Amino acid sequence: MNKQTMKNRSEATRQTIKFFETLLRASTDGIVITDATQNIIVVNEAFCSIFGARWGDMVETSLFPWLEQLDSGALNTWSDLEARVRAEGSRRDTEFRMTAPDGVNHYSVNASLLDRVADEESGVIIGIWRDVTEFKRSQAMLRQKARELEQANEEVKRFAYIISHDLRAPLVNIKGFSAELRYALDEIDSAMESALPHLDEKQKESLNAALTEDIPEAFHFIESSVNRMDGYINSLLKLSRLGRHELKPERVDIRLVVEALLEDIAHQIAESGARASMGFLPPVVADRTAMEQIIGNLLNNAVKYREPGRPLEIEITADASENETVFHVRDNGRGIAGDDLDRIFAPFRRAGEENVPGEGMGLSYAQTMVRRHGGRITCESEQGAGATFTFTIPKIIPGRRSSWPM
Amino acid sequence: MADVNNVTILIVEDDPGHSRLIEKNLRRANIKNRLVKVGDGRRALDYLFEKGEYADRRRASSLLVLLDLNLPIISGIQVLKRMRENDSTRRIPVIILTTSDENRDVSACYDAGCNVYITKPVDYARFSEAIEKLGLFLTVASLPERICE
Repeated sequence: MNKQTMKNRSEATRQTIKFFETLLRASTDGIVITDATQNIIVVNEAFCSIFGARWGDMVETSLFPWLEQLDSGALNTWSDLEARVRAEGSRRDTEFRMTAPDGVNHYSVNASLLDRVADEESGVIIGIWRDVTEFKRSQAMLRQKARELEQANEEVKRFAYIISHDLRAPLVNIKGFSAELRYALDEIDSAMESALPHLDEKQKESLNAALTEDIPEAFHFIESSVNRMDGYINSLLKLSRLGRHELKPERVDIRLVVEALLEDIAHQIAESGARASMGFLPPVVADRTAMEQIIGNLLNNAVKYREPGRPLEIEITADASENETVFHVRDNGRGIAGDDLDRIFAPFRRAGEENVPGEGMGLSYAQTMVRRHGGRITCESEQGAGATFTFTIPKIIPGRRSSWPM
Repeated sequence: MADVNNVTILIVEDDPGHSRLIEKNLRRANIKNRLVKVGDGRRALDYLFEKGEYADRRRASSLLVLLDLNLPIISGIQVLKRMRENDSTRRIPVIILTTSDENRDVSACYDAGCNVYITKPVDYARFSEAIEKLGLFLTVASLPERICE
């Protein structure tokens, strides 16, 4: 080996050491390398700061007293880990809590036997300590928030259930007793004949007005209002039932679902000269009934809210990404004004002129079903030019439970 | 088997309006049986087991119970369960008459041994119809004699 080569080689070694030192300094994880007798050979600032010590105090000292001084748990955890790594020669990870000088911290600790890495029988162990306190705290907070959300969700569902039953009871009375009043009125009516001769003209007139106009009008308003309220309560009940509906995930061929739904509204489509087209529609794993309801609602809306005088065009397409399938239902109907876009998914809210019958619940049902699958539903529209409804069905079911998350 | 006209109908209903509407419709359907109305589950059990204010009630030869589910103090389903657990009330026909049409309520009642489950419809014509059917049930059902303990 000539001088030049040696020089090059030592230059390369110096370079490597420099890289190594920079890496150690730059790492926010604590790194410690100990020999077979637990003496610290290499240690970085980040590791020292866990112990509230300086680099100069720790290097070339024994690791165990440091651990013992810090937290008895730390010593036990590390020596267990080290023993296992030595016995099995593999890399090991563990997590533990300890009381650091600045409070209780949570560490994720990884230990590897360096001799396997370097293929030498040195018994050198390299340890990497990562402070995961913040991560653990956020994780716990997330879990807490998820629990709270689930609770709130349960309460809302219970509320909808209770309120709809409690509201029904007084309605039964209003309806029942107004019918009873009608019976009583019939009695009065049939007795009128014989009473009439005893009344003067003015009395006859006011009695006649009461019996033939005022009372029937009052009945009409009472009954139609009760019917409307009964309808609202039933819709709320349906919404709360959909929210609790147990999903049965299966492979659903969306193309077949759309074809069947279009078949159902075929006469309306033919009648209005409408045209429906389908793009690429991949199958999804979802609840079949829910998918039929979601897409059915969107198709029905497209037909219902078409622009008079313009042949309706409906287009159903989809994009599949890694995590979800995104469906679009586009129409060239009357569209929705920008201000109304936020409220169309709320129960009983309808946008634009109410010239077609509907209770304003279709999109609420659809939204509930999409959300039960962990998806989203949105709408983009330009008034007078049509609307595009987009909903997503996730491919990966979070939580891996038997049913989807709420 | 009891004479149908001797059957006392116990109406367990906390809403006095509903109770009155049931009564009116029963009468309109030509049901002339004696009606006893109680407004909560405890009174229903007191009546059935001849306790409390009903300790020395006139004993009805046979009974039929119209039971609401949502009751104060003791719920309808609890009343039903207590009736089915006791020999003296085990065979008394129980008709659930309630506003709930939830599947779980319906199955819970049948599991607990109710004879018929009727939903109180808001629609009054259907309400009357339901009560009328009830009257029909009363005329065709064989009501067991009250077992004297």
